[in-house]
Amino acid sequence: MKVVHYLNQFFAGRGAEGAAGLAPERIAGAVGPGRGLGLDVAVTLVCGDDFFGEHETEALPQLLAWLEEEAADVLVCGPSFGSGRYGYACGTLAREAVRRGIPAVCGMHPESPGVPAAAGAAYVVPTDERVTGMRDALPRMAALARKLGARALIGAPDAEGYLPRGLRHNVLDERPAAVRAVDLVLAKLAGTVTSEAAAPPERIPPPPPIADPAGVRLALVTESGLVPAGNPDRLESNRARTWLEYPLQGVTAFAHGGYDVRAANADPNRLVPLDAVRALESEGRIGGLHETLYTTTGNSTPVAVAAGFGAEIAQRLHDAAVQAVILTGT
Amino acid sequence: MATLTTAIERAGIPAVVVTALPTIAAMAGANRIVRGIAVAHPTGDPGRPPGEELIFRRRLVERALELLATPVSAPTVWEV
Repeated sequence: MKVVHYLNQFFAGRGAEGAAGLAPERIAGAVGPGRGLGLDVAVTLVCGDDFFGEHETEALPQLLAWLEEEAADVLVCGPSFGSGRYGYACGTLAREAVRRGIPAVCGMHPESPGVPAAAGAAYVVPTDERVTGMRDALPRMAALARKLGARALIGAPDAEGYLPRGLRHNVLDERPAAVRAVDLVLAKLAGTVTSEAAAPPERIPPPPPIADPAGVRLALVTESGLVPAGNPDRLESNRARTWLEYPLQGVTAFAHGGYDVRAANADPNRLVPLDAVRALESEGRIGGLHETLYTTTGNSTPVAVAAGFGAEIAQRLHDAAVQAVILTGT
Repeated sequence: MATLTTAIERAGIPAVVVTALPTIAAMAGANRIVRGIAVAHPTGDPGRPPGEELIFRRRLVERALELLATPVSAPTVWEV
C-alpha cells in the first residue's frame, strides 16, 4: 500500500510563520508526524499555509500531479488541529484527491474550515484543537487510512471515528418507527445520542446595501490582532479570550501568532487601511468614520467564542449608529 | 473573521470582509468579500513603492465601499 502524507511548512520542519510562503515540495519518506503514523509513508508533500491559501490555483494542481505520479493508494493529511489555513489546505487537497480516485483522510478539529472544504468527499477524523492531541489523533487517522488504502468497506462515522460526511446509508431496523422514535427521544433525554448531524455554519441573508458611502458612518473592525504599541491589554496572539476597543489613532503593533507580522509592523495600514479611509473621508467620499477600532485575534479562536465577541462588537456598533463595516482578516 | 461578520450582519449592519482567503470567508458565511493581497498584509503590498502602495490601498477600500453599496444574494467575492 502506497501512502502519501501531506504536511504544512511547520510540521515538515521548514519553519514557522516566516516560512508560510513556501511553495510545494516533494520529499521521499516520512517527515515529522508522518513517522508517528505507523504507516509506511512513501512520500511527503509539503506546502506553506500562506502559499496554499494565496496561490491555490498553482499549489493544488502541483500537489495533485505529484499524488497521481506517485500512484498513491491513500492520502493522509495533517493532522491540522484547530489551524484555519492548514486545515483548509488539508481539506481541499483531500477532497480533490478523492475526486481523482485516491481515497483520503484528514485529521482536524470539527470547527476547522477544512471540514467544509473536504465537502464530504474525504474522511475527516476529529482531533483536539491543539497539537497536544497529536498522540491521540495519529493512530485513529492511520487506522482509517489502512482501511481506505486496502479499499475495505468503511462503516458508519461513529463506528469508524470520522465526522459525518452528509451521506445517508439505509439499513433495515427490526423496530417499528414508533418504537424507534420513542427510543430516540429517550436517548436524547439521557444524553446518549451520538450520531446527530452537525449543524452547518450559520448563514445570515446579506443585509441590504448602503445607499451611498458618502452618507454613511463607517467603522473598522479587525481580527488581525492590531493593538497599541506594547500591547498594553495583553491581547493573546492566539485563542483570544477577549476583544478590545481603541481610539483609531493609537494602534500600531500586532499580537497575532498565526502569521508573519513583519510587513504589518512596518506599516499598520497593511492590516487596517486607515490612511486610505481617512483620505476618502476628507474628500467627502465616506460620510463619517467611527473613531474606535474593534480588534481581536482570529487565530484558533473557537467559533462559539468568536460569535460571542461578534455579538458584543455588533452591540457597540449599533449603539454608535454605525451603518457599515470594513472588516479585515488575516 | 466570518463569524464576526455574521454577528455584525445579524444586527443589520452590512460588513465587507477584506481577506486573502476569500474561499474560507465565503464558506464560513461572509456575504461581501474583497480579495486582499496576502494573509499577513491583506491591505498592503510591501513590494510596491510607498506612494503606489497607498494608491492601491485606496482602490481596495473604494472596491470595498462599492461592494457595500451593491445588492448581493449569496457570498460574493470581488477582486480589486
